[in-house]
Amino acid sequence: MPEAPTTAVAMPDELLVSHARSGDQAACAELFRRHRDSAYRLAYRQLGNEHDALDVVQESMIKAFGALADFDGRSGFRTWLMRIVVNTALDWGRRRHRRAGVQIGDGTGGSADIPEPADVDDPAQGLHREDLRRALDRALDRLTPALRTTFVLFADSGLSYKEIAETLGIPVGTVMSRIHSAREKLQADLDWDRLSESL
Amino acid sequence: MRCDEVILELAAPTADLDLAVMAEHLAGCEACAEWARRAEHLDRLWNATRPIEPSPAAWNAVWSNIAEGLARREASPAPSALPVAAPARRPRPGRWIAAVGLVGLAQAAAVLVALGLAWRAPSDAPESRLAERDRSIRTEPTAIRSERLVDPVVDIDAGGLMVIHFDRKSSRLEDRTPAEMNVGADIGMEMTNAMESIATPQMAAR
Repeated sequence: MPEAPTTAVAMPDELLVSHARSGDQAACAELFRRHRDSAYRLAYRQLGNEHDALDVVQESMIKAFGALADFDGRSGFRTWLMRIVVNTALDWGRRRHRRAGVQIGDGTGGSADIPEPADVDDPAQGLHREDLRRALDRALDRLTPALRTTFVLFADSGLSYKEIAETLGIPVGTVMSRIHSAREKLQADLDWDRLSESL
Repeated sequence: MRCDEVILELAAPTADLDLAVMAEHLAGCEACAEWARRAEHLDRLWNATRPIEPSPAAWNAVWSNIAEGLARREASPAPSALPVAAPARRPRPGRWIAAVGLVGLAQAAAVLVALGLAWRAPSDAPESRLAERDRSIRTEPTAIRSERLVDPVVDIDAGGLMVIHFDRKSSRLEDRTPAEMNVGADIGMEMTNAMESIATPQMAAR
């Protein structure tokens, strides 16, 4: 990955976007570096799988950098990018069945850098981390895509209510009501008597 | 403060509510307190199940694929990335006339080219090549003779006379050695006489 220019750290996204539009690959690399984690978490919560999440980040970034000419700047680049990630993840989810328990490697197929669940959690504590993930994924699966997307944006993207509203193209009040509904359903679906021992 | 206001604030915090007032409500409302406990559990579950961050190598691989994908798009832009077609323009009569003229000129040029090819084509035919060769025969007789001889090896006795006949397709030898050559006579004179009688038989008969 090309090194970002030293001044890029202080550059706002909008300036990087204008450089990226003129073919500056270092500006693209810096935008990728800044927003890849948020995009990855969002995609992961939508799909429940790390490999699919990485694929979605990759596809979303290619779409975004390839369509910078369409970015009008009315919302922030981050908001615009998250909208692309959401749509790409929804498409991806329709195309693929969700898979569970696939680990991320270093791109070579190995998984040495990924700790096993047993390394993270003490089995004596009850449920493993993977079990917690599966329980949450099942509960998330029962949400409608609209509720799930809104709640994931709220919980993982770091966007404000207004930015979530811009991302999804809905009023702020709808954002808040969706978050409330999603919380109610998740909290009602999860078996807290069993889960709370591991939390 | 109503229960729905507290729960809305717990679900999607806005910092609009006074925390002290909310705490007081939760202390006295078991249903809202239970909702708050479950919300806290959900937050902890959410944090405990955050995805494992990809390794730097994995991110580098993703970036490489992105850069490659962008390069491919630049090399062959997707249809959606192509410039939008210009709005259709009303056709102008002058342009139609010019277009028809251009088509006519192109057709005329094609006819001329075809005629030129037809003109040159016979020169490639066998008959044409023979005619060409005959023309060169007249200018280069030596070369033609050597080419047309069927049997180039001819044995001629001393004092003998052989006449070679040839046309365009074949050659023929004719022995015109006098049956009784005068012994001791001048061979050159004898041959000259024989050749004259061959070339002008009518005159010789006279």
